[in-house]
Amino acid sequence: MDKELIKILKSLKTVQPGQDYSNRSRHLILSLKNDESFVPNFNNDKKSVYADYANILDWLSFHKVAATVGVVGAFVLIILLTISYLPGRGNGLVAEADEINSSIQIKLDEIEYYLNNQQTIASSTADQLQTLLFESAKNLEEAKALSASSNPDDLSKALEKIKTAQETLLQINSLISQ
Amino acid sequence: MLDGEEKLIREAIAGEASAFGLLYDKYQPVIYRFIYIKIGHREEAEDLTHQVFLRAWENIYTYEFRGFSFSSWLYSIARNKVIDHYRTRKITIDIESIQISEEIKPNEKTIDEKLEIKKIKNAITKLRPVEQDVLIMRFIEELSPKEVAGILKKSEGSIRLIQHKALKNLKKILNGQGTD
Repeated sequence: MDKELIKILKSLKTVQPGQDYSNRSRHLILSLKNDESFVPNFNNDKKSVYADYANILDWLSFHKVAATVGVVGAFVLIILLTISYLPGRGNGLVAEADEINSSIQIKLDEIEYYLNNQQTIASSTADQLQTLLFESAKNLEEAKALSASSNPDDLSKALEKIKTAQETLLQINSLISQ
Repeated sequence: MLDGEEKLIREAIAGEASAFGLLYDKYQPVIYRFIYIKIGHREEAEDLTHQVFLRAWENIYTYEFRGFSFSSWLYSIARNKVIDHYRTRKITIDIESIQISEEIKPNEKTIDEKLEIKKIKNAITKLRPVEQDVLIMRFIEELSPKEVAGILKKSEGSIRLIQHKALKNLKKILNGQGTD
């Protein structure tokens, strides 16, 4: 029976990912490099997150579905976030924060992808998108402030803020994929 | 390490997206298969595979040529992703609902063969994670015991032992018995 079993196991090599999914995933990952601020290292992860926010807001601005002032405001706010909203290295929260950071990055990539493939978007949806993006950016900003503290409670709060930002991005994702 | 692969890795570390793209083309199906067979859910496997390569690209500068292949580095990221997936989401898999026909390349398999494959896939998800890893790497990806030992950071002897137990347990599951 071992031989038969092994033969069937070998046949599982025919399991393949879908071509559309592969192309899309590949494009999303490699397009990070097109973002001039992206350098594949830990310290610059946050820069690419920032750049993704900027790209999304640029899209909203380009399609004139959000007030320019608002877009510029968001842009400035995100610049103020700088690039270090994650708690510093050397504590147990980092791994979790890093994980969420990756997830935020993916969600931003997906949102950007959806928007780039949308020809039109209702202005009410655009307003909602902008509000949610502000919310998400605000939480990251607060997380950044908290992470500067050496108090472990503040670091936990920072992580909570990052998680909230992540949830807001999930809301955005479901909004634009409706 | 395959011919030219080290050069591609060095270029990718230097920031060459096209070089990483070639590594992606080569290893993405392997990592997808590894994850999909372990968790038995297409969308989740796609999401996790995407995360593995995103993580790899963002952290490629941490890859070091220390006798471990690039694939073993990707496998270790994938294994951690699967562990995190189960730890954070606690998803129960309904493998019966999976459309096998979407996953298996149409190479003229009979219905009986498809059912056999489906049964085996279902059974694999019930094995211990390390047994799943060994079966996938040894029999599906056809890696040598030495390569698997390197990836899983175990001795070749223990890989052979795990392989033996994994096959035994797989047979038991297929026969409707419990595992050891």
